[in-house]
Amino acid sequence: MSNKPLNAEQLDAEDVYQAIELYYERGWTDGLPVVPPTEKRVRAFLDGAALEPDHLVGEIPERDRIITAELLAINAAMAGCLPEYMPVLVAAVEAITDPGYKFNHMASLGSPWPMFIVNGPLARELRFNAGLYLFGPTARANATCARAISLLLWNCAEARPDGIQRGQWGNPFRAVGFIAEDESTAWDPLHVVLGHARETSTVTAVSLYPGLHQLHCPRSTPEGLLDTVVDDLSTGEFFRGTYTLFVSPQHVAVFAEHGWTKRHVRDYLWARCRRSVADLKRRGTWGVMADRPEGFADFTRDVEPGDEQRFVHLFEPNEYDRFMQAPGALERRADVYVVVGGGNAGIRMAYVVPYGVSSDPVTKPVRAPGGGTAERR
Amino acid sequence: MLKVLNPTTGPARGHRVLAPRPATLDGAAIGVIWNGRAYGDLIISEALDILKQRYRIGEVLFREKPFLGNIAPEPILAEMAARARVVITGVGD
Repeated sequence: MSNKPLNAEQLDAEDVYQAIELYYERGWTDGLPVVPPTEKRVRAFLDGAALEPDHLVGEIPERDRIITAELLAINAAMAGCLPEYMPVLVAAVEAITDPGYKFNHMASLGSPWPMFIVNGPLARELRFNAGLYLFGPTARANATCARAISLLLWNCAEARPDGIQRGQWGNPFRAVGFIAEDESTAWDPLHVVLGHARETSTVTAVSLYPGLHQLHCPRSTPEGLLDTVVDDLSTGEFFRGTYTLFVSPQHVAVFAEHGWTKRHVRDYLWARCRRSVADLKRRGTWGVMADRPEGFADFTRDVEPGDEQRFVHLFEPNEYDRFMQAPGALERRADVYVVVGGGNAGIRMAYVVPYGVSSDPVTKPVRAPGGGTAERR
Repeated sequence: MLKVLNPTTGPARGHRVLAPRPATLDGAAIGVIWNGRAYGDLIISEALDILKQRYRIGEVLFREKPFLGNIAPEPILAEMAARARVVITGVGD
């Protein structure tokens, strides 16, 4: 337990209710009331991860900001978290301040926001929901951890509409984008697929455009189930990147019965998600930036002979990436993360669309209080 | 009475500092890092024209980042540090 003094300014409030109003008056909350963070409460959070107040959790060079354990603890306490969640939140902040995540994209008009996927034993110990009503609201861990990151960036990185957050529509994942995977099926969980030990707990951050796409998938073969997904992905935003597909345990059983792993699912989508150049031209997004039209009035290009038979593959480096106007666009990764969840009662799959320009997903192991990568706490 | 904590932080003063502001741009080499955003080059060119009217600026090093979402590559940053007095960058839409 650290005895180091805290750095934060202390403010007086007559009681809890006045304290709640104080955070509204100062613009320090997202519209919901906060749990007033007292020094005693914040120290419990620091103890939850065995961290000193000035421990550097992450750095945001673009904003010249340093996220200390104390700042994370204050905002997590405000969000209604439990002190035990701190190691998971530390990993989440480490993920979004990793250079691979490319924090500066968060200012985009496209309203990107990270979704966090918790894997490993801690997800179950801390009672993260991985089942029905996955995106909630359901469990305290899911709801308050999502809010903790939202408040942290609101208060410490100006990620608010009057700050750097210039998104057009906003992003509901800000409130609900902290989930766990159901690891009880035949399939390897995400962190194992990504090379971590099953007993390691991890947090994966994936930057997403707003919106969960839900698909009615009534068929009973792997190909039948996935053809619905192929159809939707091929006619959607069509930005290359790492998509996350959510599959229910019931559907995992269908895939497993046919010998399909997550890798088979990924490869099936990889090979089939495509769109003709003619369709992209009719949509008005072919060659938008590369052609530098005069004004933004009309990007439509005429469909030429052969365009109906000319295809762009979503997951391959492709000509359509010129939409994003620079060869560097090809450097970003493309993949399909398959995550199990959503309970055992439905025939729907769901997917989310990655921020299509620059950010790559980042996975960080959760460290046990006192150091080391926790096998168990 | 309750004592509660301020959850905000400002820039990490002292951690990174702004370079000294030049008193004049007369004779200064001007670096430009265009982030690749459509029409950003046109806006920067307009800005350069205004600077040329006000100062006798030196050479202009106009470079384009390979991709707007990434930090400029080290060679571009090194060239700017070595040759440019000021750098114009950061065009959004």
